[in-house]
Amino acid sequence: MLLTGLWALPMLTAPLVWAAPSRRAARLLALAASSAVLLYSIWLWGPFSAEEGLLRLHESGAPGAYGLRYHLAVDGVSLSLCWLTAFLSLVSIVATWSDERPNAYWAAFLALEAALMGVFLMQNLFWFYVFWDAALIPMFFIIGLWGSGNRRRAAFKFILYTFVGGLTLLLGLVGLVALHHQATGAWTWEIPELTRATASGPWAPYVFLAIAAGFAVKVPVFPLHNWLPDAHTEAPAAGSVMLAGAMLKMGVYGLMRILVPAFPALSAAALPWAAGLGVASILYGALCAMAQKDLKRLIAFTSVSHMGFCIVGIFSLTPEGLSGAALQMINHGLSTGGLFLLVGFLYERAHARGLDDFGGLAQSAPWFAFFFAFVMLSSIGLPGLNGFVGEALSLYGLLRASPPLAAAASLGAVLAAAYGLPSFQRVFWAPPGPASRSPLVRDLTFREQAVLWTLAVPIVGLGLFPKPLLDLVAPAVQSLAQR
Amino acid sequence: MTPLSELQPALPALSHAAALTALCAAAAVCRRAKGPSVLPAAVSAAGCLAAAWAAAAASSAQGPLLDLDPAARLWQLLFGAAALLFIAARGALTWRAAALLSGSLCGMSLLAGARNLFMLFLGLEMMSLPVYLLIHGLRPDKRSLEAALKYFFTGALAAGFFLFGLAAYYAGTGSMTIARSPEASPAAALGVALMAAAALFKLGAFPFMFWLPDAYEAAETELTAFMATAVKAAAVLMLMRVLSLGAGAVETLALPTLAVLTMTFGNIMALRQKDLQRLLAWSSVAHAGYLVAAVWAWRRLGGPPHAAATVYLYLGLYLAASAGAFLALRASGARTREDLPGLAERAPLAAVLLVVLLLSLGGVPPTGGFTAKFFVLWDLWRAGSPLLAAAVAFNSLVGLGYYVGLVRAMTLDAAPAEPRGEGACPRLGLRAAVIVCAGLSLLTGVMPGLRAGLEGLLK
Repeated sequence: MLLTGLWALPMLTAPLVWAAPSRRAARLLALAASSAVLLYSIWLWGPFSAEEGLLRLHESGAPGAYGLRYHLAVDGVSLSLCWLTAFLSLVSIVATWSDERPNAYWAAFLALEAALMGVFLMQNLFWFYVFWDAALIPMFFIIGLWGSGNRRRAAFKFILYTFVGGLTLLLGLVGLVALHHQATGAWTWEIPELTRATASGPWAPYVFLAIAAGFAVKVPVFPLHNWLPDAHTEAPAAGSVMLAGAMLKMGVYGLMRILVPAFPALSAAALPWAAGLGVASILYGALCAMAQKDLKRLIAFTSVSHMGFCIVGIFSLTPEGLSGAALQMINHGLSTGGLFLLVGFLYERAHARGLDDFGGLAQSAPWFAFFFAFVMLSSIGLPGLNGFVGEALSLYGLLRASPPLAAAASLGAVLAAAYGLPSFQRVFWAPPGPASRSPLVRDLTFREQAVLWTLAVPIVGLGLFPKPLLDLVAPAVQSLAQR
Repeated sequence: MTPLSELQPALPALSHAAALTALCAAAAVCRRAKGPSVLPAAVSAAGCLAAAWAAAAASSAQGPLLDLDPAARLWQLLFGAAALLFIAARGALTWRAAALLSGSLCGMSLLAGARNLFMLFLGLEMMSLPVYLLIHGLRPDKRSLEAALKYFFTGALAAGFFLFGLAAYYAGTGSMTIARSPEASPAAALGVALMAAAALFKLGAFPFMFWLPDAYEAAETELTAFMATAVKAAAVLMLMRVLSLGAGAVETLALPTLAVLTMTFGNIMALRQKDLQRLLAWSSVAHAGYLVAAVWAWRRLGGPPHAAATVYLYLGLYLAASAGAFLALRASGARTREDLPGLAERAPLAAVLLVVLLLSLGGVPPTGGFTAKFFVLWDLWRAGSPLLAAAVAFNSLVGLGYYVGLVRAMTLDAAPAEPRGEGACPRLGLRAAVIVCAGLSLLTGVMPGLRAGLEGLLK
């Protein structure tokens, strides 16, 4: 029952939060639940490291007919993603503490946390998919009910776009099971079993494509990224943190957990295409980010760029590239989450987020400037901070697989500086703009600083000493690279 | 065999018939009491419960004309559930309306248990005629009269199809028993095709669906919920029985084509509707398409009784979601799309329930609609038709376009200055029915083991 708690606790608390007698009580209950989940997930490291094998802490229900059994387990990659989810959920709740939000808002975050946990824990395709799609519903309401100006359109676009991806994925997953049945004569939905055998047959390329497309929408990979800028721009700050920080990881995780191990040969054959799309995401995202006038939109496009590194890392199919992708997932969650929080704090004060609305904030809000520079540098991959490690490893993996593509991808790191530094310059150093003069724009409060310091610890820690995390994901990465 | 045990296969139908007789007698005696009251509704409900008990307790009772096989028994439970939802939502019925309801149920019961094609026809007609009358009787206005007449004439046409098909089949095989015929003859194939067309008429499948939106829109909402679930379930069973005669070309070519056309046409029409009851009516056409696809997969897999579990599961979960959605609309008082904005603020609980039901209709996890659609997709893959599976998936997406559109309208869109629509209906039974349906839709979403259980029951 160890792992069920990770998703059941927030799921069961969500209705209670909703029904709480006052907004204050709802907030407190949500805080308590998300803190408990975080502590619990960290505590799980003990039992996890006490076990042997790739997938640990197995927990399963009755076999049931057709292998639709309830089955949970974690390896290093999924455990680290559970930590990330729990951490970002807590951060989101604390960061928007002072907003006067109704009960349903806090309940939606807990429901989202539960669904994400389910995705990272489930070892059975049926349950994996149930949680995969269920995660969209709270996010739909988070964007649509509590977002900014154009929220309704953005929420609608978000949910339809991702449903398209979801149904493509569902078709592909059912196809994968059917292929497995053709090969072995057994019906199973268990991910470990499906990924142990290699799927083949005349339908295999189509199934591969359907699953890949379903995951690619979520990552998102160019040219399926269209939903992301709108959803991010209109979502409330905490919603963007969860969307970019944790939800995008579902796609990358799916690629690592299901697609690549189930189709090793096809994945290797797809390298030029898949890594090519990854490089296209890196460059296209970075170029789009350079052209943005809205700070939130800019960060949204950097997400497209950074997730491209995960894609090239995975499809390099080398241990370095795969570890890089696993690290990049965590790093991107931390640094992009931090950036969205900072923009959220700014928007809360000035109700503006255009790059040219501000200027000169470094004088009036020095701590703001410090944290923005710090997180931005981590995001664009400054050595010594966390972003560098994941990107460098992914690029190294790609270099071993395809030097020309690696050369193109490394341009992304240059472009990152070209969008990151000017954005800082325009907001914090340029002559003050209209929004900077607002008396509301003041420096970070104690609570906001506390949130950012807690983010800063892993950012520096993983930048200087990534070994524990690398060791954690190493067994999963090794087994994947050997497929 | 004692005489009483020979009656056993007819016991569910007899329970409804007893209720019918009692209600008719009471209607004749109590001429003064014209208004609706609880007592007739209770008599009808008692008939349903007795029938359900008889169906559940019967052990493979078989007679010359009726055969309570597992499918027949399980379907009786569906009819009973739909009828009880109708009665609970309606609260009170006139003696006449209750008698008509019991009569329709008696017909369904005969249809489900029929072992003989003529018995099937009797059940079909006995099921249909009271429904035409109820459409106009429960909401006596011009529109319902027109819709009832339209429904009646198309129903008569379907009956004609069936009778003609029955005659052709009898000419070809010399038998009216529902069992796979030993030899295939052109006359028998024609007969099966015509009888299947009659079933598709009742189901509201393309190209026989033109009567459906009018009838569903003009009927009282509670009755629409009953028609969309019980009558549809009966039509699906009828289609399965007819196809089990051995269908050949109808099955391989016509069914998948019609399934795709039905779901696509229903969804596209639903996208454009303003009136919510009409929208759900078109969406029920789309669901008829998914059901036809499921029936086709069942036939392709060899048509063993237990493999019908997917069809049954879909019907059951669709029953909860669809009846629940119609009743939730009734409870909230919203009639058109414009009435929906602000619903979440006016009536948060109703809005949440409606969201759950609409998501279940759309097949979004973690609701029952997803479980049902999942098994349909899987059966289609197993039956060797990924293309049909893709068509179902694509159509679910179009469906989500309007289901999520409704969710968006009632939760996200800004509330108008003054509330529109008829105002909420405070009837307790109606609300309880909606809560039960939504609860079931949510619970069944995480129970993939349901299908295995049904398989066991259908064996």
